[in-house]
Amino acid sequence: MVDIFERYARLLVDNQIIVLFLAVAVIVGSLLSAQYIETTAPQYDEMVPDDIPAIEALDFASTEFGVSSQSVLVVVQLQPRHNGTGIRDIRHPAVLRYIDVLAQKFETLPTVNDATSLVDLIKPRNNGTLPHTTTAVIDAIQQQPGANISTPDPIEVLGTSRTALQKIQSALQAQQQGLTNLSQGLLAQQSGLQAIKYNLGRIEDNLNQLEDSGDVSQLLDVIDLTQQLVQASSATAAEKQAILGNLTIVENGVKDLGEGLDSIEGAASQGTAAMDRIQTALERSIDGIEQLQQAAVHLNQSTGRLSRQVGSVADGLARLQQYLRFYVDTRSDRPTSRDRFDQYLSDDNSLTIIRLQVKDLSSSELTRFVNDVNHIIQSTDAPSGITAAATGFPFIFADLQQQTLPTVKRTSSLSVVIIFIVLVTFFSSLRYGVTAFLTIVIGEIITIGMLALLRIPISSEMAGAVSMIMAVGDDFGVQVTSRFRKELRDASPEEAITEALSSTMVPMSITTVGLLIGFRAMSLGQLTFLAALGNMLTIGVLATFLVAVTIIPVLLVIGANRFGDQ
Amino acid sequence: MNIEESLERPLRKLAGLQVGHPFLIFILILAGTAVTLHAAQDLQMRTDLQEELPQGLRSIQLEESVSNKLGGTDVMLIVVRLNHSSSIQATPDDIRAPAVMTSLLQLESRLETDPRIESVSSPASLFTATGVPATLSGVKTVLSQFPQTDPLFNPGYSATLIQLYVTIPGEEQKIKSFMTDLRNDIQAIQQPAGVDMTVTGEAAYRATLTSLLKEEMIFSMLVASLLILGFLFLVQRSVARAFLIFSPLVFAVVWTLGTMALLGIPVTIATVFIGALILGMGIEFGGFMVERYKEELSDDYGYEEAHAALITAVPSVGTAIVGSSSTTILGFLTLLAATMPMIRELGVALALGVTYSLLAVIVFDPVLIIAHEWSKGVKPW
Repeated sequence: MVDIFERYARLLVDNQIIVLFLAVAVIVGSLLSAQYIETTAPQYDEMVPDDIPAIEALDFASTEFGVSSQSVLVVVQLQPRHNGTGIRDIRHPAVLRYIDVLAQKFETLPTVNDATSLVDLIKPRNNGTLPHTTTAVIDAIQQQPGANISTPDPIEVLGTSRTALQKIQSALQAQQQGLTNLSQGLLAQQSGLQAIKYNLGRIEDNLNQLEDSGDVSQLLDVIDLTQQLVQASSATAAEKQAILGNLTIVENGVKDLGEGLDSIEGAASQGTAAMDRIQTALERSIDGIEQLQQAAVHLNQSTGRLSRQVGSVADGLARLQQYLRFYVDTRSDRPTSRDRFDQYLSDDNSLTIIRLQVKDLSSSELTRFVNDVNHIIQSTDAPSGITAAATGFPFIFADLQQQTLPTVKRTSSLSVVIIFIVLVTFFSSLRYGVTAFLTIVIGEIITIGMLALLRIPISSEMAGAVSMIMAVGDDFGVQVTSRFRKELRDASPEEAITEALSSTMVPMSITTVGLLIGFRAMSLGQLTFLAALGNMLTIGVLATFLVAVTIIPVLLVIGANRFGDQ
Repeated sequence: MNIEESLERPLRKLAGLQVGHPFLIFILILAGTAVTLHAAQDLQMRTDLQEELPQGLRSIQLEESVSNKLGGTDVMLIVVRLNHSSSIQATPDDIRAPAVMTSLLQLESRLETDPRIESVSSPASLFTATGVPATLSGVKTVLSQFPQTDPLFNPGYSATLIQLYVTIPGEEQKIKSFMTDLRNDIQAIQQPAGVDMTVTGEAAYRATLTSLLKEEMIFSMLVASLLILGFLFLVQRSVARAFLIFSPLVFAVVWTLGTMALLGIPVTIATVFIGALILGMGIEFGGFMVERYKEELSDDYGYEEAHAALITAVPSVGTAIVGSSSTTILGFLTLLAATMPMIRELGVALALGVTYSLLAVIVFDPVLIIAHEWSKGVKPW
């Protein structure tokens, strides 16, 4: 492999003029191309892969709902240290009118979905118009739900009414329960009275039976008939006398019973009459209780209906309250926030914001959007003492884009100066220092020219790449120059460069491939946002390597021959 | 005497020390590596992109002003979608289905108890007091009375959004914990089959970026290591020489990461590839050392010749790579003039990486070469 490098070195030495001519052509071409280098800023939402669920969901929300991660705020605030007669309170009506005008203008932009501000919160509290005095503005802002009787917050009023109705409903439900208990009590009482009436009827029946059982005449007739039969029988006189004597005793007993029964019959008759009256009274009581019970049932049913109706009204109010809250909060873009004004107005009343909901913007749309918003702000007359400016990702993007080139110039200039001083000091020779330094100068020119040719824009995160290429690339120049000088002690310039290239090209090639592997590793994983940086560094390292092994050896030989170094 | 020549004397002394006391140097390096390896465990990840931006920009200052005066509330979204690829039968075919609205209500009530969440809203908020109608037509009827809910559904009624206003914690660990809690809340509710809920927004973005940074750092180092080792095997045609060139760089990476942790330099989107870059840049130094050592040896060399080869190679290669790497280090340090913090930190990290690569090759590589020679029997005894 060393033979190849030796042959290559001799080829360079033998064709110095052609190599120089080609080098100048490439440098001029690169310089011309570098004029068209573009700058950009990092797109943070593109830094992570799209197939990650959270990112895919954000893209979906952006496509389907127009939701954007690019939120924009237009900050309207008091000018600091404004010593004129300007406005000193951001709640001034003139400021609100200014905000209103700005918001309306922003909403005309095709990339703006919505513009919400303090005005959207104040107008509904002031009959849909803007107040004409600061006091009125403050009143509108401070107007808490329920605090202002003349213009009560409908949501709060609905809430209070709903609570009251719910209490009434609870009372009605308690009453309904009482009526149910009463009805059941009356029903039980009615049943008890009916049981009494039934038992009284049974007693009356018994009394009637008792009344009927008081007639003993038939029994006496039977006894008489028996006595006659005894007389007519063939029994002895003594036997007849004994039988008739017993029959007489029975007859007397029956007669006594008949008399007792007569008295019982009278009492039973009186009892039956009394029972009839009691039954009549009981029937009336039962009828009354039944009517009372039916009335209780009706009242219970009516109470239940009323309770349900009150409940329905309360629910209706709750629904209405919910709807109103949703409606009001949706318009203010803060669906359940209780402190919406806090989101738009600073505590010291020096700052407020207009929140712009922006569509997902491409790079070109983003630049136009920034220009349009800035134009609207500049072309709208602000009240005295008030200033407005926009912020959010598109504006940070624009600021970064503007800073990219100055940053590149600053860091690369510093690199150039420091590396130049170090090289000249290291070699203790202006000529050798400059020669080694040319590696990175020419390498950078070719790199920028190639980037412009390939339409790869430089962004702020790539701003460091120019310095990194210098840092890495100058190493190649140092290696070749250093080895050339060492070999020059014992050899001619042509022999020295042949030896220098033979011994340095292998490790330099290893370095170059190693670096390219490192840079490629930037784009092999999921985080591909530094792939552009890797591309730029790849081009830069390749360019400086090629410069170090083509132009620099030729310049070293020409210089050594010209100044007689050996 | 120029600087190049003046560097040779101390390097020659160093070579003598390495040849005379390789074991002592080896132990010292291992001790230093253990300390930095321990420190590297605390290496922080930083995903707050706001912190990566130049703080002097007017737009950044304005955002800070708004954040200071109005508080920083960030919007997060839970995207609720019908999963048409679900194989489960009887799944909703309209996102307004009562089952979906009920699950949204359940989720809302859970999320509202989280103190980190300022407010929650979704189309189901309409049904908080009244409950969700039992039928899809009932839900549609209610929603139709409120056209302002239309933007909360996509045109095909296959998706809707839950909006969360949250105060996103600054620390990555707290963000991770917040995201875990959020996902647990989603898991805890009764989700209808065939409906997916995905959390997105800045916190989700940062949590994703945090885990990706760790993965990518390890992945890029592994890929770079494998490719560089493979390349070295091809070029050197010797496993031993490939490892002699590569091994010191592994130590340089550990030292760099440990020092970054000690200096409070976090892993960011800019410094995530630092390991791969150090391996790529440092390979040259080891290559020079091993090549030069080999150049100084004859075919049948002994311990004395190997000793002499190292005494020659260390100062010779050392002066060359100190010269070239000093410009590299200074070049990286000029990145401190950049406006973006992450670029400044990248400059410091790269300068550290090159410095440690240089030290690893000059100080450690000769010791490894001696150890390798001993393993082949080229010993002083």
